[in-house]
Amino acid sequence: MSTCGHDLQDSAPLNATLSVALIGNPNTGKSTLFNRFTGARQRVGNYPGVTVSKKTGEMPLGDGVITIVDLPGTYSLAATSLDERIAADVLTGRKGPRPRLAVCTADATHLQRSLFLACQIADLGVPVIIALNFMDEAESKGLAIDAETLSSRLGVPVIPISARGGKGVDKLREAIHEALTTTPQMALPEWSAGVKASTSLLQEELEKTSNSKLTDAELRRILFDNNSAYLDLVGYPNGKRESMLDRVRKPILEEGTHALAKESLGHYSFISGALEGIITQTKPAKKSLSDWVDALFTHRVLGLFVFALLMFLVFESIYTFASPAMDAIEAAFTWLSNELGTVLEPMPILKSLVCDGIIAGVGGVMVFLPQIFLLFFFISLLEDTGYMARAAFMMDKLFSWCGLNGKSFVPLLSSYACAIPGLFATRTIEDPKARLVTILIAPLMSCSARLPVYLLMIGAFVQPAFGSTVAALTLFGFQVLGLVVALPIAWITNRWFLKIPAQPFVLEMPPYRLPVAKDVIWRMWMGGKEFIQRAGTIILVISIIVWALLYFPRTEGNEDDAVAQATQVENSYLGQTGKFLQPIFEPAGFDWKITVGVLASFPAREVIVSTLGIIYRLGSDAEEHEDSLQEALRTDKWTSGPRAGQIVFTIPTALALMVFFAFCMQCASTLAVISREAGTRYAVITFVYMTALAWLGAVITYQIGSLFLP
Amino acid sequence: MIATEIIIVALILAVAVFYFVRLMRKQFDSGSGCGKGCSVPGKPCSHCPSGSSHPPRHRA
Repeated sequence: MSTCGHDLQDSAPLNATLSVALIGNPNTGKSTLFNRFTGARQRVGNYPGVTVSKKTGEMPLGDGVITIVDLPGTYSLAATSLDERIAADVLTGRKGPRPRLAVCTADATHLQRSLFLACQIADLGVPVIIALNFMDEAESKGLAIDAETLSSRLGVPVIPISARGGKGVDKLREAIHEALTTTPQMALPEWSAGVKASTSLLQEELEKTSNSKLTDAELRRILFDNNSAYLDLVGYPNGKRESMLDRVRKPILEEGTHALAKESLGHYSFISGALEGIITQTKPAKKSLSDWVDALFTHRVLGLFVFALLMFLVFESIYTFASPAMDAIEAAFTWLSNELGTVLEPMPILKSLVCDGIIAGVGGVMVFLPQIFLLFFFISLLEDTGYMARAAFMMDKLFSWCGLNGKSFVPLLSSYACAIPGLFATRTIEDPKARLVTILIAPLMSCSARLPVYLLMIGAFVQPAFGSTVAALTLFGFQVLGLVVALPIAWITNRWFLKIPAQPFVLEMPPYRLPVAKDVIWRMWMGGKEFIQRAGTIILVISIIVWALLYFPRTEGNEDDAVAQATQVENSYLGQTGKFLQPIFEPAGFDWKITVGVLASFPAREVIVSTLGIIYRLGSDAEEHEDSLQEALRTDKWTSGPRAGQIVFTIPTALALMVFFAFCMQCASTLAVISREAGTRYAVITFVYMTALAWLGAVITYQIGSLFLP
Repeated sequence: MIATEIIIVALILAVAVFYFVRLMRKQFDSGSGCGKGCSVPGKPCSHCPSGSSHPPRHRA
């Protein structure tokens, strides 16, 4: 019995068990269409590889609902990377039932290539509809496409749409409704006598070794594809399988073509005939704006300069524009703390928990919300305009030096928002070793959780000493520091351990597009919401625990006496732990308070801001409560040891702390995802090497910085 | 008054510790999708800023 037979029924009622797959080449608007159909808010972007896993949603249709499956983009069913494998497995029915219908999104400006995938899917017997997307762009390029004639030649509906604007989407929905009952079968090329002979030979071989009965189309996928989804059904041991396949492919080879090229030649020859006279150029093609801009943005020297300039402007804007909103949030939390402090005056322990623990901790982190919104605004702009793909292209040469290629750059750039989607994005990398190296270095990219730490230190020490331009430059420097260090690490890993073979890098440059305002706002909101959720969950609970460990055990002392309060905190459980472990961080210039902050931040980086907020609130008298955390950091002094009486936070100390946070693996979520994507062993390796690197980097920074900086 | 206060603070602390342990366990639970507590097979994950979905092996 076939394990991958067709699950098609002639007239099943519409319900959520009926699935329609959205499939197409990368960056052809599948996720945009998915969002239109289902009302979901899946991430969309103007670069290949945004969708790396299967996503499902329900679409109302007629009197019922059906399930829409958004698949990662692929050029062919011959999958080479994990994300392409996911798409191929769904369409071939190797992982669950095959979809009842496939909607192939085709880029109207690159129709021939899009139809190749449609032919492969149709060859498997899956009914197909062609959604001709980007019709607006095709028209602006002077391309007219005769969709009706193409539809009659292919024998399946061809619906012109513009998924971003919603044009033609209703018509496509109607076509899906109709196709679920009519199950349109696409016209396909007649395979040569050699292919038919090879198919028969393969069938005979399978009958000898395996119980699997495959259709002719499924057998052809084994003949045409060395990574076929059906290969595990062949039943031969690995070494013998190759020689058997060489034997059965001989009739194809005798026709003068290699079996792996036969499919492409057959389909493209058929597609060329089907497209004859379908596409006409209504006005002369001229150099588009994308071409002009690309001449600068992808220039080997100027391109890098533009990239650096753009990144600097982004971080300068983040630094400058957020100040008024930050001040307002800080004032709001101060007001709230004062009001609640008055109400809770009769209950000093509870008052301290609420004001010194929860509000100082969570409020200290929430102050950076405006910057997070701005960061995601700029990331969204860079991605949606299509600049991301140019940046990946520019980085290819740099990355090839360390054994990776430009394909690794997209996951690394995604990691600037959050390492987790960046780690998932590594699924687009074909070579397992290159993927592993990218996973190992992705957490070094400066994620949004590091931003509050950098902003706190730069705002407290760099800006007052050197002004806002140097402050913005420092912020920019720390954003790229992770990438600068990641490349030598990748080089060492490649050269001494993994020895990644040279890989070709093919990237389709998307045209520049104006970002859709609601997508940008949605991305900002999602980034901000995630930050608020972390402040309200992990940071809140750690703040409460840290407060308790800093508040107890209590000793008698005057609450209005700063010295008594500082001694109280120093003798607390966490204070004693910090003092015990402080010698480890002594060479980096960290006192016991910073040590406590560093240790508390291992579950989530932002916790250092809340922990320092709590330490300085608890260790101060009532008057000093009004001071900002930055002011408290600036005036803090060593209480014991050879540096007693000296200022704790010098510029080298602040830089060392930022370097520590730039390199350290302080994110439980990221470790969990590495463990799942690459294995627990690599999660442990990542944790150990990053923590060691962080300590070493902080020590070097402090020791060298102390020679030159005050 | 002091007893009430101590009970309230102890309760808040207990809840915080319980929630912290639960959060950490969820992160490393193999069925927890993106590691942030969502594990509904096949459902898109709204926890990550980039809208990542669950790894395929966690889906039905």
